[in-house]
Order: sequence, then structure tokens, then C-alpha cells
Amino acid sequence: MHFPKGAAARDSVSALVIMAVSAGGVYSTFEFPQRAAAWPLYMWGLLAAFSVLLLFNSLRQTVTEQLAQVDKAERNARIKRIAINVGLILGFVILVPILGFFTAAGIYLVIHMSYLGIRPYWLVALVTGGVLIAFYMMFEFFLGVLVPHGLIF
Amino acid sequence: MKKLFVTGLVATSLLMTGAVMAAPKYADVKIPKNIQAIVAYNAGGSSDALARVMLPFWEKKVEELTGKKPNAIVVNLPGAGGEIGWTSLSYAKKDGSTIGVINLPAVALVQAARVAKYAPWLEKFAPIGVNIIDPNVVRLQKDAKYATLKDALDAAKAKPGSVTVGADGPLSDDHMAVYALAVKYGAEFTFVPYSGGAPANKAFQSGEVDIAVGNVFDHLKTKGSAKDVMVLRPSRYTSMDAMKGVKTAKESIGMDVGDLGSTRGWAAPAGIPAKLLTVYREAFAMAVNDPEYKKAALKRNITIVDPLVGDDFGGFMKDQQALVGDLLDLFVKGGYIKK
Amino acid sequence: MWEQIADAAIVIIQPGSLLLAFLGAAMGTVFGAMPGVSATLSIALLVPVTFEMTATSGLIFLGAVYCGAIYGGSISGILINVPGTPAAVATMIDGYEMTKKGKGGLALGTDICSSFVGGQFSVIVLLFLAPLVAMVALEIRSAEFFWIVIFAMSTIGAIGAGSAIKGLMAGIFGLIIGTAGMHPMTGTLRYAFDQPPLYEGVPVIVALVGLFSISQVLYLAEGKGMDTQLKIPEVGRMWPGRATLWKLRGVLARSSIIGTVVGLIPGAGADIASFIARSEAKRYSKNPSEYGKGSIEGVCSAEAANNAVVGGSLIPMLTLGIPGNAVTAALLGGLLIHGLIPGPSLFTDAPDILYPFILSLFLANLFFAVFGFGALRYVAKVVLVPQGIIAAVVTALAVIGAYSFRNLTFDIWIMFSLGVVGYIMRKADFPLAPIILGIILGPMAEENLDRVMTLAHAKELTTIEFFMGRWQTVLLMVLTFAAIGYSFYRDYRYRKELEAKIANGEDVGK
Repeated sequence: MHFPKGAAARDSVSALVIMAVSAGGVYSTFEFPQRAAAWPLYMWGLLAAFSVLLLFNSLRQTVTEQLAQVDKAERNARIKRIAINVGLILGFVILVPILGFFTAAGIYLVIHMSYLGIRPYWLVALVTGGVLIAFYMMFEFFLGVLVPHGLIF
Repeated sequence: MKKLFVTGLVATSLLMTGAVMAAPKYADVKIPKNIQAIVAYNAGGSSDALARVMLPFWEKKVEELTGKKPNAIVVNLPGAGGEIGWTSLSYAKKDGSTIGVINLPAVALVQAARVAKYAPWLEKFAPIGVNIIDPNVVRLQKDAKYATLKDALDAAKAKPGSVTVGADGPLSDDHMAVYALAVKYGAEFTFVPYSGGAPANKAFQSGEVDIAVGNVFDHLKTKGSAKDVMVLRPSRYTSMDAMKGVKTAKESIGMDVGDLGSTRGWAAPAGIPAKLLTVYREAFAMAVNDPEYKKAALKRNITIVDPLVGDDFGGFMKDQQALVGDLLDLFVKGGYIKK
Repeated sequence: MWEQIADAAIVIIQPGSLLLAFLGAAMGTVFGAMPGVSATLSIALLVPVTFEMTATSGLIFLGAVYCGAIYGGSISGILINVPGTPAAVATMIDGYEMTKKGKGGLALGTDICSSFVGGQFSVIVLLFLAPLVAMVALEIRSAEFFWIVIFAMSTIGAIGAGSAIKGLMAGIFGLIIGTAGMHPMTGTLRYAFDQPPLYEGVPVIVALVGLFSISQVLYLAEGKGMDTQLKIPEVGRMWPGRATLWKLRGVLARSSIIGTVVGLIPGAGADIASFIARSEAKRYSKNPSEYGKGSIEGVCSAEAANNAVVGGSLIPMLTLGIPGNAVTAALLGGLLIHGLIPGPSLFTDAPDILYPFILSLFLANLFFAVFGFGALRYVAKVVLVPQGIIAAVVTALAVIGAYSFRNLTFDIWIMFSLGVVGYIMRKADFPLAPIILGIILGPMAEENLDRVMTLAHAKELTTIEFFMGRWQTVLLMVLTFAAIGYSFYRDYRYRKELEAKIANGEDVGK
């Protein structure tokens, strides 16, 4: 037996993770009354079965698609980048109920666009301002759709 | 037509306001300027419709009684089977600025099913009044092997579980009616829940179930698929012409099973000033007896009945709670409520 | 029916309806044209716009967005070789080649005409077929419905893109998310974690916004936020001329039919339809060697087919409540917020909303064509909007969408979490559309199965005997097992092809 590489390695890792999750899922159905437990039990079980199949396939695969090779430094940089993107959105989500949508969105748009390399800065400011005004006009003014309001606005 | 109606409305209210203008009965009672009416279901639903039809009349009657016209608006707070809306109502400020529609037996059933945040509901809601009971109608499928509802019930008595009954459910007024009927008759059905009235009607029409339990409009929509029908009321439902020919349970199976249906009443959070509650109740009684209101309600397919006001509605609420208590074992046995 | 159509016609020629259809088509086109904003995402982001509208207005608007976005997706494909929506990949192959040869205008013009023809054809089919299907659907019982749902889920494996096993797994994952909240038959709470917002399950719209927008934002944010190298080339004259169109009549007819039929099948969407139509057109073509080198037939076949999917895909969605792909799932979410529960009863209960909606699709197709010929030159620049801007603005719109559905901050969290999960799944090469279908179809499958078991018990039959009792059920079971069997075969073949390609050193397009 050989150790899988590339896409096959990725698939076998996914399969193992899903297997673990579905085992937990199967267990979680034990606390439900029988009639409500049956369907989730089948589904978790089916997911577990498919993950076994996926693992089996990926281990058996001899020729596999090569994923783009990157060195360790770039890999870390990439992970950091993704983490920052997730973090920025998370920050926005946390701020919305506190500051209200428009204030939070203003801050978020400026920071995230700047981080993503949108230049010159007046373009960032222009887009932020434009988007906020457009959203305000569209949702609050014309359509009467509620958006979260908070401390400032 | 519409214009005529509005003019009529304005004229009547002007007349009536004029009559009492001289000395409002409760001129000393301070009415909140804005009143929220919480509806625990979506805009466009039947509870929402009732609130929107009713409130303008009620506002006017409050004005007649106190000399001040409040501005009442409907607030839809749907979710979690009504729990979100009723919880908001029970926790609302007790200054009369919030009233709401409470749906029975749903309020009691949700409380029985899980730890509802508004429990115990009988103590949290002060009854204003009710004039809407959409009675439960029991229908026998035309291709079922039983000739009449009585035959079907006898079969369900002789061989428990052999007769299938479809309805909106679980934990709906229809579901409760199925159990109430079963207990009274000593029969046992196989209850088949559907997620809504429309799917239940569809299943009934396709012949999937022997019997369907629903409300007035479920019957009117599926008339062609039923060969025997009865309404679960002590007397025939006469507010609507199309329902006058439908027999009561007593006439059909020789046994009265009580007054079952979906009820949408008005309540305030318990603890609001007694004077205010009196005004709200009287205004309610006047509004529902207004012929213009009755016309408007029937036009919107709202199933009105003779109103129960104040403590009468409170008594009705207690009866509903007691009925849920009586049937609790069946719900538990069916797996619908955890003990 | 004619009466209802006539009534509906009066509704849609009101200035308000016309305006909404035009705005929808134009916004759909612009959103669809932005690279990275798919048709699904366009609808998901624009659903909140309809929250406070009447049901009819909301649907007219969303239907127009659907038509516009499917068409608009091809614009960026043709101009800068970046598909705006997965459905435009097939168009892009020949479209961009034409642009390189300086015939970009012709490609865009053909694109508009073909989308128009395909779209209108499918709406005609929808208008006349849907009521018939609804009538038949009234006779469908729980047992059949259960198997229809399972069939819909299994076709994802049989005809979806990529690995069949992964498609099926994504579908099952969706079915599991669909179990959250009250058990439809007993009201037992599952996976609700004492949070009342979860009692009625994960809202489709919120899940959709999360899975498709946040995961896409993270995907866009990975790369370069801004590419100043991109330029739109000179396109030249757009109107292809009557003679050219007449020559394409065979391709148009065939592709429109293919698109509509593929749209009917759950699990397949506009992307698959356009590839099938393109390869069929190539098979019948007099000069197949031109395909891939800027063939006008290639553009025409792919575009007619992907817009023809619109009408076809709405048939199972409206008559059975079963969306076949992610875009119709988004539209289904739009229906639900207006209290319309798709199913056969919709045709008898709400014809006053349904028929204006269907007829408005004719307008939508007309309007994107008008918009395309009239304004495309001026709005084509949207294809150059930097990805960094799209990413940030989509996040902001997604937050509004998730929140305003029920005015709950909790829903923003659901959206965010599902977005991150969706992103990870995408990285692991799992498709996202089956998840949404699973969330919608899961409760249906469970509730019908439970009902069948209850009914079988009452008749003293086993569940299997009960299923065998009606030939309709048996037929659906056979179809389902065939689809699942074919999925495994297809997965086997897919892996073999991939291996062969890799062994030959070909680019596998990842």
C-alpha cells in the first residue's frame, strides 16, 4: 500500500474528518425519541458509509491529480491570508448588532477593501460611501426593509 | 362598491361618535397613544387578517369610550410555532401599549410540548375577548370503505388504529380534535400529520387517508371528495351560508364532542391597569357587534361567532387548558409530547 | 386557464409590473455579468429587496433577476474569459475566441438573441405544461412523493458536475442540516440547542446566502483583489443580422428543447444544459472543426440552452416544491417568504400570483434583450469591477439578507458559520448546490417516509409492501435505483477519465 498524494491525499483526509463527524452524528441521534431519531440516524449512517467509500477510492487511486505545489512559506502566508479574511468578516458580524449596520459596514468595507489591495484610497472611500448611500436609499428609504440599528446609527 | 362601503363606515362611525361625544364614558382613563397588536404569525395569514380587519373598528370604539383615539398597529412576530410572538406579548410593558392575538389551543399545546417562555399562559394573559372560532370539520373520503362517519368510528372502536385520519399537525387544533373525538367515542385512530392544511387537503383528495379533520375552509375546498361531513360544535355553524347544511356531531354520530376549533382571541399581558382592561373589553364587545365589522370580516373569510368578552373568554381559556390536560396522555402516547 | 392568463396579462402590463420586470432584468444582467457573482448569488442577494413587496411584485422582480443573471453571466465570459456564472463556461469557450478575432460584438449579439429565444421557448413550455403537471401532482401520495424526493437527490450524483460520490455526500450533508429544528411529524426538537430561532429549522434563504456568498467572498479574497491589466477589447457591431440568425434556427430549436428538458430534471442546471446543447450542436454541425475556435454556433447553442433551463426548472419547483438546482432553490426561498408554499395546490390557491409571475418571465426575457442591445456598451465595464470590491460589497449585502429575513441577529451567525463550512467544502472539492437542495428536500423526505410508515402500520403492511402496492411508487423506485447505480458507474468513469488525462499530462481544469 502506498500513501496517497495530491488530490487523493486531500480526499482521504476529508473522508476521515467526515467519518469522525458522522460517527458523532450517529451518536447524537441516540438521545432522540425513536420516531424522530430514525431519519437523522439513516442520514448520518449513509454519510459515514459514503466517507468510507471515498476513503477507499482515494487510497486505491494510483494516478492522481497534482494540486499546485507551494513551499511552506507561501502555504503559511496563504493560510494567514484566509484567516485574516475570515477574521475581518467575523469582526463585521460581531459589530453589526453593536454599532448598527451602516456604521459597522462603513468600517468593514474600508478595512477589507484596503486589505484586498484596492487602490487608490479614494476609490475605497468612494465605493464605501456609494454603497452605504445606495443601501440606505434602497433598503431603508424605498423598500422599508429593516436593517440592524445600533448605538451610533 | 369599496367606496360605498368606506363611506358607509365613516357615516356610521360619525353618527356613533356624535351620539356619545357629549360625555365619553371613561373620559378619565388614560389611553396610550400608540398600541402594538402582536400577531404570532406571518403577515397575510388568517390571524394577521383578523387583526387588520378588527383593529380600525376597535380603535374607533376606544375613542368613543374615552374621547381619545389610539393608533393601533399590527406587529407580526412569527416563529417557533407562535412561541416568539406570545412570549413577547407576555413580557410586554403592562401599560396597555401592547395587546395581541392568542391562538387556541396552540398556546396551550406549545406550552404542554416544551418549556415555553410564556408559561403558565393562563396567568400571563389577561383575556379581552374572542369572536372567532373556526370550528373543526370532520370529513369522510368518498372512496373510503365506510359508508358514514358513524361506521368509520365504529370500525375504529372495534379495531383500534385501523382508520387513518389526516390533519394539519402535529399539535394543532385539528390534531386535538382528532383525539377529543377518539376519546369521547372510545375509538382509536391512526393519526397522520401533514405540515399544513393544504397538504392535508391534497392527501384527502388523493384518497391517502380515510378521514380528514380540518376547519371550515378546508371543507369548502374539498367538498367534492367527501361523502359524509360533520362539524364539531354543539349547534350548526350558521354564520356562513355554505356551512348551514353541515350536521353537528350530535346529529351525525349521536354524540356531542364539545366546541372544537381554532380560536383567535385578543389578550393583554396580565397586570395591565384594570380600568384600561375594562375599556379594551368594552371596545372589543362594541366593535365585534358592529354590523359593518361583521360584513368586513365575512368578506375576508373570517369565521366569526357570537363573542365571548372578558371573563367569559377567560373561562373559555381555562376550558381549553383543561381539555389539553385531559388529552395529554394521548399526546404523550403518540410521541408528540415528552413527559 | 385562458381566463387566468388574461387576468394575469392585465396585471403585468401595469406600469409598476413593467418597471419591476425591467429593473429585475437589468439588475440581474449587471449582477450576473460581474465575475464571481453567479445567478444563484444574484437572486440570494436580491431576495431582501422583495421582503416588503407584495407576493406578485416580489416574484416578478426575482423571476426577472433569474432570467437576466443567466444571460448576464456570459458577458464577462465573452469579453474577458471569466465566466460570470457557471452556466456561462460553455459559452465562453467560443465566445472569447470570437472576441480575440475581433468579433466580440457578434458574439454578444448572438448571445442576446439565443438567450432570448431559449428563454421565451421555455416560458411557453412552463405556461402550458406546469398546470398539467400540477393536476397530475394532486394525485401524488406520500409514498410517491418520498421517492420523487429521493430520486431528485440521487440525480445529483448521476448528472451533476464533478465526482458523483462527493455530490451525493454534499446532498446528504444538506439533508442532515434539514433535520435541525422541530421534527415535522412529532414536533420533537433536534439540534436546536435551546435556540428558538432554530425551532423551525435553518431558513433556506439564510443558508443560501451563507453558503453561496460568504464562501464565494472568501474564495474571491484569496486572489489578487485588483487586476489593472484587464481591459475590454473593442467589440464592434452587435446585431448579428437576420440571415445569420436564420442559419442558426436548427441550433436554436434543438438547444432550446435540450435546455428546457434538462431544466426539468432535478440535479441538473444551466451549466450542464449548456454543455449538452453545445456537444449536440457540434454533432449535427456541418463544420464541427470550428468549435472551440470561435464558432458562432457554439455560442448560440450554449446560450439558448442555459436560458431555456429557466422555464424548465420552474416546473418541478412550482408544481411539486422540488427545486432542481441552486438557482431555483433561491427562488423557492423567495416564494416562501411571501407565504406561498410551492406545490400542486399553488395553482388552485394562488393563480392570481402564479400566472402573472409566469407571464412576467416573457417580459423579463424581452427586457434583458432590450437592455443588452441598448445599454451593454455602457455597462460592460462592470466585468472589470475588481474582485476585492465585489467581495466586500457582497459581504455587506449578505448580512442585510440574512438579518432582514426574520430581523434576527442570530441568522447572521448561521449565515457566517455556513459560509465558512461551505468554503472549506469547496476547498475539498465538494459541490455546494446539493447542500441547499438537501436542506429543502430533507424535511419533505422525512415527513413522507414517516407518514408512509404510519399508514402502512394502520393497514397492517410492512413499509416495503406498502411501497409495492402502487405501480407509480414502484416505477419511481426503479428510477431512483437506476440513478444511484448510474452515479456509481459515472463516478468510476469520471475517475478513470481523470486518471487518463493526468497520465497524458493534460490540464484537468482545476
